[in-house]
Amino acid sequence: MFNIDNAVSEWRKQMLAAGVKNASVLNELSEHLRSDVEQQMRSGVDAEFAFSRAVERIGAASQVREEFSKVRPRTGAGFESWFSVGLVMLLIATVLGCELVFSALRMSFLQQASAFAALTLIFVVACGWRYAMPYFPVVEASKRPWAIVSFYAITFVLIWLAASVVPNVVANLIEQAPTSAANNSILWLIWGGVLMALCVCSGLALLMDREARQHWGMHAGGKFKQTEHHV
Amino acid sequence: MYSAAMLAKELVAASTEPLILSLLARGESYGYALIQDVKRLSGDKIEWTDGMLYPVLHRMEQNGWIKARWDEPETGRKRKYYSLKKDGQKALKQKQEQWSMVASVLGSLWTDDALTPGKA
Repeated sequence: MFNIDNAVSEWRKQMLAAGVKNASVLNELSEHLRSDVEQQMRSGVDAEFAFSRAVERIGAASQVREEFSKVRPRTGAGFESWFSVGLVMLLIATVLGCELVFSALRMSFLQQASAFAALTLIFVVACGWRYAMPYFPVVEASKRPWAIVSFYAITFVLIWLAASVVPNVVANLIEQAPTSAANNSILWLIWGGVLMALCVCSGLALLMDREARQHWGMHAGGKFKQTEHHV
Repeated sequence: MYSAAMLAKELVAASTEPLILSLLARGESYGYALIQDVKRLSGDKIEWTDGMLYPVLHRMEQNGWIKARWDEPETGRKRKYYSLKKDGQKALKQKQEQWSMVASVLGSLWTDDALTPGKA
């Protein structure tokens, strides 16, 4: 005599063995099986046959596991709020730490302002690059390695040039007096960091395809064209 | 992933999310009922592979378009109900615009005149 409870229980064991281990998913699929069997039985189909047909419609366990594995978990609101708190604390610690270092180096007020401006820019780039995503083209997968290598080669040269010039120019402009070599080095490093942040974030943006961008809640890209454009 | 009696599987796959969003815009529902509704509304021309609907629903839930809750109706069995969220309404609106645009372009191309050889 066919027993639906035993049949569902046996089916769940098969799904578990195939790797579908999420209890909530199994409960939902079990409920679906029972609804389908009930519906078929109302049309006069034999319970055992209705069950085997329902199982067939659900699909093979390996296929179900494969499809569910594509559903990637997203971090929850709790994680996001803790992340924000951590980020603010890191920012405060960075500002205080830098202030201590700058004071120890006896940097002038204007030198410190220049350094903090650079640090702010790094922070803005690191937090805000995701919003610039519409302006980054979606690079075709086959061309992506070349695009990344070319991009980094060009930006490396730009960084080297800019980081050699910008801090000295900035320091000299705002001070209108020669600054010490140590302070210049610090400013060189920090302003170089701005360009480095720009370079890293742009590279990351180019590495991401449409799916990856959507997964992380970003714009899918291609603001200026309706269709996907390639580099 | 999908089976369809009349429609190409790519078209069925592409229309899954808009169909789910549209059905949930009418009120909350559960997996089995959604499958039956689509089958009925399409005159059995769209038939989803049952087990494949759930990963799509879960993905839409992860996207923040729909939310789910477990409830115990009169059958006495717990059932997972899905309903539309604000972001889902926005997504539905966007998909409505896109599908309407495609339908309108095809509609204008498929007039009798345009289909007659030699006339364009």
